[in-house]
Amino acid sequence: MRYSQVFILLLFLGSCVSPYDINSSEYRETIVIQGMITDQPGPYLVQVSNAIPINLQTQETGAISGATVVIEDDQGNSERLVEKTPGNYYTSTFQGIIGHNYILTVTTSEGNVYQSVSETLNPVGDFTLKDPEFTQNEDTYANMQVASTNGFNLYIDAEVLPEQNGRVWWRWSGTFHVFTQPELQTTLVSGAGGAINVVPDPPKCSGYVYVKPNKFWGGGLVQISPCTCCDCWYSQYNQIPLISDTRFINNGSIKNFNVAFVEVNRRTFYDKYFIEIEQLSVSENVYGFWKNIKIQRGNSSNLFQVPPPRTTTNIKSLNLNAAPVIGYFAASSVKKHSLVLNRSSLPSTYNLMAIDTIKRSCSEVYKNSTINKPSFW
Amino acid sequence: MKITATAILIFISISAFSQDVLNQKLDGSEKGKPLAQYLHEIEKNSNSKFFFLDQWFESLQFDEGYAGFTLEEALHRLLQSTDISFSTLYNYAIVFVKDPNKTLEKMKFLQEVKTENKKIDIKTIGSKDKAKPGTAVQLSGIIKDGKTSEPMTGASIILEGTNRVVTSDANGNFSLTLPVGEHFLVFRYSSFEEKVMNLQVYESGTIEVVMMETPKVLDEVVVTGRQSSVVTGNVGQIELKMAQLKKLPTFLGEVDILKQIQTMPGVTSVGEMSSGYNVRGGGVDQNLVLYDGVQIFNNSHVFGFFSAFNSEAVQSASFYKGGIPAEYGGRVSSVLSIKSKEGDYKKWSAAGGIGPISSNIAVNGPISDKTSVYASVRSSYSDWMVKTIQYNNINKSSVAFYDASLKLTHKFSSRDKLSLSGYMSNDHFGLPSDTTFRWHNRVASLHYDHIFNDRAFSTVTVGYGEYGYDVTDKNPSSAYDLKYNISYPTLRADFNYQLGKNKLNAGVEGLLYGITPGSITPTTSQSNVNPVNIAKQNSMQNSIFASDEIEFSENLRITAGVRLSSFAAMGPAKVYLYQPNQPINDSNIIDTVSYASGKNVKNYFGFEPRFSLVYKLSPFSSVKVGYNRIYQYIHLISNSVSITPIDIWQSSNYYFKPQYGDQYSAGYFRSIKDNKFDFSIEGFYKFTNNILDFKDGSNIVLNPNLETALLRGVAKAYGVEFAFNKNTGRLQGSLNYTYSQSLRQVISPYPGESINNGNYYPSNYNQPNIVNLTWRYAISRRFSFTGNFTYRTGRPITLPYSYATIDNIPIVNYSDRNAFHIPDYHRLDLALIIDGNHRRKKIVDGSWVISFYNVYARKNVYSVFYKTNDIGMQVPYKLSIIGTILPSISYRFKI
Repeated sequence: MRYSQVFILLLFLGSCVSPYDINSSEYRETIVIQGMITDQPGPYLVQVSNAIPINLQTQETGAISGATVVIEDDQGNSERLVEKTPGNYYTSTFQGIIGHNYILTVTTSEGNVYQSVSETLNPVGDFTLKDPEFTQNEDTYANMQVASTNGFNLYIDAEVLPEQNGRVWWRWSGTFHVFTQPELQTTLVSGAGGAINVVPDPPKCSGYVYVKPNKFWGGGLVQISPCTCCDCWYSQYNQIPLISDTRFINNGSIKNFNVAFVEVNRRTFYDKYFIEIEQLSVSENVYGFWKNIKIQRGNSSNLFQVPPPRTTTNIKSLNLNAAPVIGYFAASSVKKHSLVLNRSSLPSTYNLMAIDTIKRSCSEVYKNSTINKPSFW
Repeated sequence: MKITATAILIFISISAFSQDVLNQKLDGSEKGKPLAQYLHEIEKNSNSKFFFLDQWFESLQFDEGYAGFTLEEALHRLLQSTDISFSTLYNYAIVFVKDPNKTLEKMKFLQEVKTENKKIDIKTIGSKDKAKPGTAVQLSGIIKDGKTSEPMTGASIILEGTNRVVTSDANGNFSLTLPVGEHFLVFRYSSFEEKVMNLQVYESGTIEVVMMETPKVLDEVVVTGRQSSVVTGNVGQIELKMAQLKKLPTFLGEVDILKQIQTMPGVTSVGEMSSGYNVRGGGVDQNLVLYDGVQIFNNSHVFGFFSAFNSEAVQSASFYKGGIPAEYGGRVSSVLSIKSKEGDYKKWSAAGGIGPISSNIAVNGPISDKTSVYASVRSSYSDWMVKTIQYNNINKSSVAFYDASLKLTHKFSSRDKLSLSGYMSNDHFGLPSDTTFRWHNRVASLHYDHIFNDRAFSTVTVGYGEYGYDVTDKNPSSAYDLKYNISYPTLRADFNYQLGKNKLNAGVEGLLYGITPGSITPTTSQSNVNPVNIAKQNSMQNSIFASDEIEFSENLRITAGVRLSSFAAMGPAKVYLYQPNQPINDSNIIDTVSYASGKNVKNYFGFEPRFSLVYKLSPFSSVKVGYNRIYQYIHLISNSVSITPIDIWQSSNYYFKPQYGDQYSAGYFRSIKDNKFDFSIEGFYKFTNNILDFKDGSNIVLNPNLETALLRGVAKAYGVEFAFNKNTGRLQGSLNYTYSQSLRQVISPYPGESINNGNYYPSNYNQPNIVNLTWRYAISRRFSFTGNFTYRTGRPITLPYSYATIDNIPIVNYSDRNAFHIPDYHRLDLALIIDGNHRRKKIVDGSWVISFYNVYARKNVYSVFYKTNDIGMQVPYKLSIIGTILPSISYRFKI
């Protein structure tokens, strides 16, 4: 019962769906704060930024620099965080301890103070990863295997401690290696008599230069240094908040929770796929925050769309006229497990093609990817 | 004249002598004497002098029952409703004066009638010889449609030369108290030929008035010098005229009662795909829709494109938006009472319509001379349209509906009538994705009408209604069957009694609700759907009511009433208990309490006073005031903006208190230039307690403890409605404008739960400015050109205004609830109506309607929704249901 199908049906009445223009004057300044303290060694990160107007979605998040960011506990300890890159504030020595309560205070350079409620760092149960299950939803060669709905479903069995009150929060990050050939990049150049010629245009990072034809040589690509944008590592994250449904907890455990889906295509499995899954304890406030985001994210496929819930927060603005704040500050205990999926993990009958030729820099094709090989690779 | 009268009045205060004569009590010796003779006798025996002309008193004499009255009282009684009055003068004289205006008015009236070539029916009740001049008699009557013999509701009966106008009631009955003598009565009903009756009434009696539908468009409108029902009708009440309805532009050729209601001032809807309508800032669930006295829950076909009632089978529809009478209850905002047609007792006939989406046929006639039947059926064939679209699997979808009605009536005598009425509607809506929606209404009722005498009648109704839907998905991985059902047997008795100037109405009503909130069953072994089954909920709603409509004078009519309602939620039931002083949510459940079958879970009582007043300032203007309090024990739980077929109706229970609303309204009504125009301005204020609104992001479908998803609050609405109508001439039409606000406030003691920080916020259907213009222009006798234009403020929505990425998840930041509104809605529809020839004797009376809906093809926004874009961000899109001009042609006929 997807919306789109109803629309299609209504087409005979001339129904139409078009983007709804939101006037940028309808934007209201909103501060976004996200940060957490865990029982794992730091440093911990607190990010402070401005929300972006909805009609300017390509814009980078607007970092807020120069804020005073402090985390304190109920034992009289506190630490002021250091801004290392714009809007990113890090701890240096602090470490979370189970049972302690923590408060985050952010004071912007204009003097507006935002403070979280006191968050208790509760313990969290452990979990076990089950064998990944390959699911084929569409034809093996659909979309030429560049994008696919076929992939691995990952399931876990999770233990839920009584202190968690049925609340569990999971996050995962998956990393794959992608290989591109930017030296094959070309450009169009107008030649004599109005002709348009395709000529090589390798970016500098490819290590290649294009030598035009001359009397000594017919012209071509020449490598002058190693390629620095051919191999990238790109990370994916869960796009829907993963939180427990209190109804499905039996005797302190959750069985067969579908925690992640890893898409199998010729790029994600060029080499292998590394996935790390975290299970975290979560307070009622932060759980509520993610619950609303989850509804928001899962919403638009319903025929009778539920009006979206507002984004809540456990951070309050202490100044009356300050811009409102969204986001969270969490104090969580963390349990982590990781898994590597190889091409050999695929069913033998599934023929995965070799990676396609991508004639551009990998960091251009995969924004936010890194050219530095991760330590776990 | 006025100055003389004033002078006379001054003298009255100082006249003691003549006053003594007037204060003398009659001793019985006057019995049987003509008035003139008796006055002359008094003159002889006292010092008083009476001034009058003998011929004025020719028909007046004392009959029995005057003994004990003072002379003054007796004179008032004898002279009432004559054009003669009296005063004392110079301490010894009693002067009788005759007002010449009344005679002049009567002459003028007769001249008009002659000029317009109207026939005057002459009717005599009783015998002149036996008449007792100066006494009052009771005239009762019934008004019937000459073609169908159906009683006509809402016809005006005007006593010419006075300010008195009465309206026929739901059974076509009316009654009037008249002085003995000659009167002219005028009977009026829109689209029917006006009837003038010269009535010589000498004793109480009954008349039957048969009115004929106007055959010609142009002649329909001859109305002069009379009062309009705008001035005299009850506050907040509108009679919908079926004949008028058929002459308005249609949506895809379908005549639609509910769309017509939405052109009334104070009534609106949120868009094309919504059959529910909002009355004076109230919710769609606050409208009581009755079909022959039994509630209808879903009144639409195809998600609201068409109303579920075949207008061909509807006799009359009364709509109340304020001053709601005590006989109605259960919904806070409005009442729409639809009466189905009764078959003809004389001959068989048929009527129908053929349109691009559906066709209908109705047949009626006598089974015997005492039994008649009316049957109608309407069915869509819209499916073919869908099947022909070779695009994106559309042809795999299906849209179909039908409805049917039947009415059987048997007259045991002229005083006893039994009728059986049945109605059903079915809808089927299939999507290419294998999801099918089906919903249905079924109601049946048995009515027994009994007339005790001229003054008293009663109706007993036994009814049964049911509404249900199911949604099935055949896609193997998600296959399920979702079912919902609500049934409501009804028992009702009404008693009406006329006592002098009082019209009394009293009755009892009982209703049993059985709600099966639903079950969802996976229908294949691969289906991932979790089965859920929520137990049936039973409840009982009982009411008693009484009201009195009192004609204090020709100019003042007051209706006062009260309704007492009670509601009991009954077992079997399971009630969840939550931690005290904690938010009501799943994690705070501490216990459950089970109630055995039939055991009371919770009781509620409602005291519902009703009041309305009509005060005529002049024959052409009036002031009206209305007040009502209504309790509503059943709530529509919806987090979409309009009624959808899969909405949940929830009765009051342990947690959900009944809604109750108080509405105050007052207005000024005026007819101008012999009722050629009329104008009204009416204001209202409505405050409703215990409304329910959903918590942010809550799940309401198949939620076993709905109390966790909802919050309780209050609603207020206020506004002012202006209406201007032109009732005569080639061009007729109406223009109305409403300004209103509909606001809600939900405050929760727990942080984060209050909606918009506990401030008032606009309801989903708050549309402050509404303009409706409707007209009909008679080009010639057969051709007329009609149209309507609608404008309304776009309804409120919640918009995302910024976004952020938190934990690599794109997040949208939404505004306060309903802080924005979608672009304004406006639309123009035009239609050309071609009537058949106007010969009275023809076999088929047919007419063509060529209509254009949304003439300038405006893409009115119905809703704004969100889709996830390439970078995983939710972006708003707008949906326009009808983005083009929709022409249609339909044919209607009567045989």
